[in-house]
Amino acid sequence: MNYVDFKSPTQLDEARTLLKELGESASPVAGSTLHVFLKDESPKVAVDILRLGLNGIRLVDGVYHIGATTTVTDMLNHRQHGWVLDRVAEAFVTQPIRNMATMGGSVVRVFPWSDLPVALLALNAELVITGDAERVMSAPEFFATQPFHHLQAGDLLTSVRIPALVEGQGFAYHKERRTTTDFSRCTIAAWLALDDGKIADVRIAVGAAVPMPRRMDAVEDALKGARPGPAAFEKAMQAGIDAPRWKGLHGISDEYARHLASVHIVDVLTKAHEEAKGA
Amino acid sequence: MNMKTITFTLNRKEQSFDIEPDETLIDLLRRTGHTGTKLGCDTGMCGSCAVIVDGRAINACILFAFQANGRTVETIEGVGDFDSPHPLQTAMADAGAVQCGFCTPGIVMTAKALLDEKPDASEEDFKLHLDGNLCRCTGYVKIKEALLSCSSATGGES
Ligand SMILES: Cc1cc2nc3c(=O)[nH]c(=O)nc-3n(C[C@H](O)[C@H](O)[C@H](O)COP(=O)(O)OP(=O)(O)OC[C@H]3O[C@@H](n4cnc5c(N)ncnc54)[C@H](O)[C@@H]3O)c2cc1C
Ligand code: FES
Ligand code: FES
Repeated sequence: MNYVDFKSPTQLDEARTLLKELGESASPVAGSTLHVFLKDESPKVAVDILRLGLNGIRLVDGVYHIGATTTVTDMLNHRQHGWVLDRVAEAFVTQPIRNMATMGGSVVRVFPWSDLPVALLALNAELVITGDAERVMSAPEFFATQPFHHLQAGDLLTSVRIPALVEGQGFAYHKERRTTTDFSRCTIAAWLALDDGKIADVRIAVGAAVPMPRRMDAVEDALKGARPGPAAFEKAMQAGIDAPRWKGLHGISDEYARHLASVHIVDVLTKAHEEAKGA
Repeated sequence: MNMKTITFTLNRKEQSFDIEPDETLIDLLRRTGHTGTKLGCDTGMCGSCAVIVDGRAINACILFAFQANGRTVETIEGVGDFDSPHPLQTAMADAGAVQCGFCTPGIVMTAKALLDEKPDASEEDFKLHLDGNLCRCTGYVKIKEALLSCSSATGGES
């Protein structure tokens, strides 16, 4: 990055005013890990947003509020009833990067290797943007395009809300990669809720092997109301597997990306079901 | 360039530095004589540049120097030296876990951050916390033995 100056505000309003005044010539900086991939040589003023007190994980009325500057390590270390993002954080590259990268930085710009957007789609997250007024976007709305397009100068993502898992619900996440620093080939997250032994609700999201993370609507539709089990999961997977345009990355073919997804959709559904059953 | 002054605690001593806004922490450390921190990949993939900032290991090749302003930074120079090595350094040498030595400062810093937080770290803890440290010489078995011997869970002392 070509930073020509830096600012270290300590209040949200101060940071927003700076970002608004400086417009295109400023950039919020959280964990700063993205500059490894984003070679932007235009002169910019870095606005450090790590001192605004936007970090922390709070459970309010059954919903987790995760501050935008909460690090991935904080998500990994958090232990509380119904908290599941530790399972995603564990798959997030390496310890030093988990120590630096934040929730906000990891969802505002989405890459094929981005773990959190896939999980947030399956978990029905809401994303809170603080601009001149506060806006709340659902995960499908937020990730329908590159999310930074939703942000005007002076807007910051300030928190992410996720309903805590309750009894009868399960969540699982799988990332297909060869080593910890390897880029993902395919990522799948599934959340499901049981009622009277049937699937009352389900959400499945896929990433890496598709242009942008997305929900698998046809798989979800095929599962709603069904009795869970290997046959139902396989049938639902078959019903939706050809909806996305699969894209093989890092030396794998499109067909193999589809194959990986077909295997892991069934796997994550099985794991989420096990948890929902209380196993 | 627009030089600016930042102040942070480096190896237990508060110090001020004039920095360029786009300077990384490793560039600042090395140009001020803290050459124990090694630059390997420069892209966050190898861990040879690991230092401890506010108690956590980070990649100094990624963090900008300005982000260290007001924080506490620990480098290998603050951990121990030839005459008075840290138990982790002694353990690495004793176990034969060092060959070319390029990865060693990063491994010691990352392991120290873990042991400072969790003195009874398990093998699983070390595996998770050191998943970003590559060694191209030793094959990891000796490194694992050395680090584990410093955990209070295995009778060690860090
Ligand atoms: C070697 C390496 C491997 C990686 N592998 C993975 C991986 O496997 N999985 C994965 O998910 N990630 C991975 N990452 C991390 C990922 O690519 C991003 O770098 C990271 O998630 C960004 O988070 P950050 O806090 O460092 O954001 P920054 O780098 O500080 O910022 C990223 C972008 O978001 C903007 N921004 C940050 N916070 C806010 C906010 N609150 N509001 C508005 N805009 C904001 C910034 O202006 C910038 O444009 C990897 C990174 C590295 C260096
Ligand atoms: S030099 Fe920083 S991670 Fe390799
Ligand atoms: S001892 Fe040579 S890279 Fe580790």
